[in-house]
Amino acid sequence: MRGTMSVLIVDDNAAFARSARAIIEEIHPAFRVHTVETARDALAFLNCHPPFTAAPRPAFVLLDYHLPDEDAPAVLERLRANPDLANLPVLVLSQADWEVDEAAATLAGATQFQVKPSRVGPLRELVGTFWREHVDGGNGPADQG
Amino acid sequence: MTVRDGAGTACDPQVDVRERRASRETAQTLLHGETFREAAPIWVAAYGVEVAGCWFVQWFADYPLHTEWILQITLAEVLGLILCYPRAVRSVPWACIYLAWEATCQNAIFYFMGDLRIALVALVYALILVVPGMRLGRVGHYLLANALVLFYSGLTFAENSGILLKHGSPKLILDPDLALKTTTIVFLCVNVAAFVISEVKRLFAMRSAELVAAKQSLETRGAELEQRVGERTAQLEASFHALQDKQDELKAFAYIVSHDLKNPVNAVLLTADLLLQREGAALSPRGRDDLESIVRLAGGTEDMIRDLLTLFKVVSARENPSWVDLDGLVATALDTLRPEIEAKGVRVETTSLPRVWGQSEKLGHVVVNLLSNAVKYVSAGCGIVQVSSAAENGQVLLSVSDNGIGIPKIYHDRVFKLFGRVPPNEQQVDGEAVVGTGVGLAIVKRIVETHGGNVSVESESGVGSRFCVRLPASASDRDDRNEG
Repeated sequence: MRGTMSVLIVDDNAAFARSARAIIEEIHPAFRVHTVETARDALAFLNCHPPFTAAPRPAFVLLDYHLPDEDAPAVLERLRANPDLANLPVLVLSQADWEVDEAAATLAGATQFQVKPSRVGPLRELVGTFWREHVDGGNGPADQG
Repeated sequence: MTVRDGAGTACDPQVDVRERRASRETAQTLLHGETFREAAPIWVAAYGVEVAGCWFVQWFADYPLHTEWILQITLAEVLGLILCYPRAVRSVPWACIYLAWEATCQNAIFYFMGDLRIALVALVYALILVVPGMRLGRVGHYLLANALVLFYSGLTFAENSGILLKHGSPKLILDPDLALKTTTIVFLCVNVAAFVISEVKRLFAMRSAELVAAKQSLETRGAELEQRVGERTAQLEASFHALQDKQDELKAFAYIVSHDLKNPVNAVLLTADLLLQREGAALSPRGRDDLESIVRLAGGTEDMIRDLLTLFKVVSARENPSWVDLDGLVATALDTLRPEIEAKGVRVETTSLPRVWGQSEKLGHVVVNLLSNAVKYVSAGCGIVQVSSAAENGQVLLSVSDNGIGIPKIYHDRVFKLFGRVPPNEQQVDGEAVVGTGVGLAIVKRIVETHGGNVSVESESGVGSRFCVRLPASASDRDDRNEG
C-alpha cells in the first residue's frame, strides 16, 4: 500500500466532487482521488472497462445515492456480484436520512450510509474515520507514507 | 293489445303455489296437525277420555250405556281418520269429508250415550269441531257450526219421532220438550263459540297485521340504515384513499425536495466553506465577511430544508397509539438535552406527570422541542425550567415554563407557524442571537392537534414563557373502561 492510494468519488454534482476531492487529498498525501459522474462510469472504472482500462483499483468509494442513470443500491448490487469487488469499502452519501434509502443501500451491500456533510470539517472527519475503520485497519495515515 | 290482468294472475304459478299452500295449511289445522303423528295424540286423548268416561258411567254408576257401540264407532272414526288423513291433510275438500265423517260418528256416539250427551255435546262440538274450523273464514266457520247443530237436531228428531230407539236412563229419557231445549242450547253454544272464536281470530289477525307492518317498517328502516351506512363507508373509504394519495404525493414531494433542492445548497456550502478555510486569511476583511455571510445563509437554508423534512417525517410517521408515560418522555428528553443543560447550568424541576393515550414517538418530539426551547432561551447560570401537569376541563395539561427572555406578545401566534420566528435582534440570550429555523414549535402544534389537543403560550418579554399542551382525556377514559 505504499506510494499512492486511489479513492473513487461517484457524484454528478461536480462542485461537490471537486471540493470533496480537495478535502480528501488533504487528509493524506498518498490519496489520489478520481471522480466519475454516473453509475455506468463507476462500474466501468471499477471493472477496468473502456474508457477506464488503466483505472487503478480504489481503496474505497464515495458513492452518491442519487445518480443520473441509477441509484446507489443498483450500483452496489452489480458491484457486489463481482467477487473481486465484493469486499470493496463503499461509503454511500445521501442528501437526506430517509430510512428507506438507508435500508436499501445497506441491503445492497453499502459499508456505511451517511448524510452528505456540507462543511469541510465534518466531511474530513467522516472520510478519515471511514478510511481508518474500513481500509486502514486502525493504522493512521502517517503509517502509510 | 294484450289483456294480461285476470288471466295472467290466474296462470301465475306463484299465485297457484300460494293458494295450494294456504289450502294445505287450512286442512292441517282442521285435522289438528301437519302430520298424522302430530294429530294422533289429540284424537287418542279425546276419544280415550270419551270411551273411558262412558265405561266408568256404565260400570260404576250403573247407567245403561252401550259402551261397546261407542267403542266400535270410535274405532271406525279413527279408522276413517287414518284412511283419510294422507289426502285430508293436503286439501280442504278432503278435510271437509273427514269432518263430515267425524260429525256423523260423533252423533252416532251421542245417540248411544242417550241423555248423557247433554253434558258433552256442546263442549265436543265447540272444541273438537268448531275451533279447528276457525281457518275456514267467517262464513265457512258459521256454516260448519250450524251444520253440526243440524246434525244434532236430526238425531234428536229421529229419536223423538221413533225412527231411532232412545237410549239412556229410563228415568231421564229425553222427552220432546227437553230435546228441543238441548238442541236450542247446542245451537246457542256452538254459535257463541263460533262468534267468540271469529272475534278472537279477527283481533289476532289485526294484531298480527300490525306486527307484520311494524316488522316490515323495521326491515325497511334497517335496509335504509344499512344503505346509508354503506354509502357513508364508501365515502369514507374514498376520502381515506384520497388522503392517502395526497400523503404519498406529499412524501414524493418531500423526497424530491430533500435530494434535488438540498444538493446545490450542499455544494455551495461545501465550496464556500473550503474557500473560507483555504483563502480566508488572504481575503480582505470585507471579502471574508461576505464569504462568511454566504456560508451562514446557505447553512440556514440547509437547516430549513432539514427541519422541514423532520417536520414532514415526524408528522406523517405511522404510529399506533398506546399508553404514554409523560414522566418517561420527560426523562428521555432531559437525557438527550443533558449537554446543553449542563453547559448552561440550567435547573430543571419536574413534578409527577400522568400517562396519556397517544403516539409515543410523536409526543416525545413535543416534549423534546418544548424542553430544548426552554433551555435555549434561558440565560446561563440562572435558568430555571419547570415541567408540571394538571387536569383541566377533562383534559391533561402539560406545561413547560422557563425564566428566559420571553416572547413579545405580537409574536405569540407567529411562533407556532412554519418558519415563524421572533427576529434575531429581539431574541438575544447572553448577548448572542439564538439560532433556529422556526420549525420546532410548528412540529409541536401539528402533533398536539393530531392528538385532538391544542398548544398555547403565555409569555412576557424579559420574564419568561410558559407553553401549555392540552391533550384530551376522553381517549384515556374510554380505554380505562376497556381495560376494566
